[in-house]
Amino acid sequence: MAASLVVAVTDLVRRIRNRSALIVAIGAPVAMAGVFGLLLDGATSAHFTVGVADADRSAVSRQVAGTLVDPAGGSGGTAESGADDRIRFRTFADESALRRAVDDGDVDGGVLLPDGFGADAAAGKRLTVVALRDPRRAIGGEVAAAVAASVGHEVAGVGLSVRVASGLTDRPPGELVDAAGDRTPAFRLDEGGDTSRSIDASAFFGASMAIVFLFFGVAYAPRSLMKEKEDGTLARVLASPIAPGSLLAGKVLGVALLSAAGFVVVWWVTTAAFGAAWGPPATVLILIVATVLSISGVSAFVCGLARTNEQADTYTSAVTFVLALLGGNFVGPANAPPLLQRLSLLTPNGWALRGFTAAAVDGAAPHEVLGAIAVLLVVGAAFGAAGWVLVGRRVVQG
Amino acid sequence: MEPVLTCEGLIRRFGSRTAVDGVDLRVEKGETYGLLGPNGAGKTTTISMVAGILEPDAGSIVIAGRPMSTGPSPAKRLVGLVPQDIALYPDLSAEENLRFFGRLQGLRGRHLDARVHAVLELVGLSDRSRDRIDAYSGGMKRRVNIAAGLIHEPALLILDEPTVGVDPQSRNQILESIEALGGAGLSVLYTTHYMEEAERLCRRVGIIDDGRLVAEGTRRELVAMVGEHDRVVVSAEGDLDSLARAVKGLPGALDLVRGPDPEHFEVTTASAPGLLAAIVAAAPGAGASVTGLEVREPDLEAVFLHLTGKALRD
Repeated sequence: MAASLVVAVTDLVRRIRNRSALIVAIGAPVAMAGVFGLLLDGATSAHFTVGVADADRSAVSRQVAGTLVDPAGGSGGTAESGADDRIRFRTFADESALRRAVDDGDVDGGVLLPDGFGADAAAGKRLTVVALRDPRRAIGGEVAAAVAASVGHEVAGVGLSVRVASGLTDRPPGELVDAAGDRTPAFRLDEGGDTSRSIDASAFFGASMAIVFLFFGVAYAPRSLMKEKEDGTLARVLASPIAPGSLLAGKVLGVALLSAAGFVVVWWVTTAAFGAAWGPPATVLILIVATVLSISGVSAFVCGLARTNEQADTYTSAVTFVLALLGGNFVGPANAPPLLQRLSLLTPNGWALRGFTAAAVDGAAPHEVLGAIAVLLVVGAAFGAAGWVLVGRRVVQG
Repeated sequence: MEPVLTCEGLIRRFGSRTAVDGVDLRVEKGETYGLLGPNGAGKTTTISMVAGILEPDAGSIVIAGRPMSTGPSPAKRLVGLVPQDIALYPDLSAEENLRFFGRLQGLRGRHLDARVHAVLELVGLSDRSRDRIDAYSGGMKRRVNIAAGLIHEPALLILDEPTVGVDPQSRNQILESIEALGGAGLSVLYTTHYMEEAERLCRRVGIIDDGRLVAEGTRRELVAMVGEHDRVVVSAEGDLDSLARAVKGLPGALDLVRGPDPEHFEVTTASAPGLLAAIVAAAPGAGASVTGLEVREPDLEAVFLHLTGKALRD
């Protein structure tokens, strides 16, 4: 242990002297936190703007379009508003204006109430609501399609009610449709869950990118080991009464301390400067330590695999990108396809993100993320032990 | 008295290549032992095993009665390694480097301070101790490199070709330092492919080639292996093959070796003066003209040539 500390401290002194420590622990984290803070300040999820055009101009179509734009005011709504702040509707004078807006990317998708919409509704015919999509905005197009389908169902439901009611009253059907239309509920995006639970995007991406950065940060350990091998200092170090594993531990400890400091800086800057909500500090701190230990274990394993500086770089890049993709660092585990969500459970960073998400969304206390912490520590220990053995065999034995 | 180093039957393979093949070594207390061989002969692999960096595939290494291993072996505290490369951190000062390697050897506190000052004094760099290594000249780096091997007062100092790439003045300083260390009773295992260094520093020399120790002994013992014969180096122009055949047939010519240089060959003879005139006389008949004749007395170079059939610098 004493030898590992000597190695770690000397490495830190050298890195402070050549300023790489300042870049890893302060410069890059501050820049990264600044970028995410500025780009994602206050964002909790995606926002969409859907254009609406009424080509029918009947009482029913006017009512539907008006309700979308202003659920409270009905047809008297403003030109741009929405039922909730994640989907905003914007009215357009006619179909061509709407199509132009979709093509130009002014809106994420469009809903067109076609000519004859009101008459079909009154006659109880099958309703057509057109969704306009831009292939470049796949999600916006899906939202527009969902809105169009919802409008069709709502209005058809109203029509059915009217036809049933018309057998019970002497009022003409047209009058009943208009009366029912007044009570058409506003479109809303039903998430089927607790909409009060959301994650601060700068907190999520701050943690996510800090983990990716962590991979690159701890990659200094294998590179440093290979550099010492090439420079000849490794021979002299190994000629002293120190186990190869202790040397590895010292190398990894030095970079882990710097990387942990960098992670804390990202947390602090996004929180202090941009108000990001990472969750309870104790949970975040424990998760940072567990994540650093886990990924340091992976780094130790790479130390054992690499025979040259170039191999260390290549292996590190490959491991970083594969684990970052599988773990959901670029999209978030919840937004990944089901298979990827399952695969993310095989990665330490996937578990780390689960822990950080639980802390940010639910305010999880440390004991509530024990599962993630345990997995992180086990992964770190397993890879670290493998690295310990491999370094003895491959690096030392030439 | 117990030897400081005893190696028996050392074997080390890298894949299908056997780099060291059954080497036995014994270095006594206070002895400077030279391991002489060309590049790739197995010198560095041998000393890497002796220093506990490489695990031998077979054989044993004992340092002053303690078995050596690649782990945190107590035997490692008895060995100081001076690698061929400048094994120092260029962004640290000489003093910081020495403190680092001293700590790895278990030195602490005042003892470490005293050793750092002592070895800096020994290599004459006390006044530059706070300067970074990358500000030093090549010779100064070499001296700190040796100081780092001495920081923990080892019983055996291993020097792996410490004068490679060093200017003549620094080289002489280094050799004088090593002579002083040997004179002070330190055991030294010195590898080199410079015959003159081995002759100057070492009481006994082991000649290693293709991983095998092909001969061992004092200079006198080794020279006796090839006989007390002179060597005549012949430089000529024209048909050297024909001249070499003619010279080989001259009375007194015992052996002839063609080296890599096409304009020279070497003749072993019991009496050089008698042969010189005969070589000059034979040249015109062989279609060649002699441009130079050099007589060399028996030395380790000749021994190496005799034992391996190749020159040390090949």
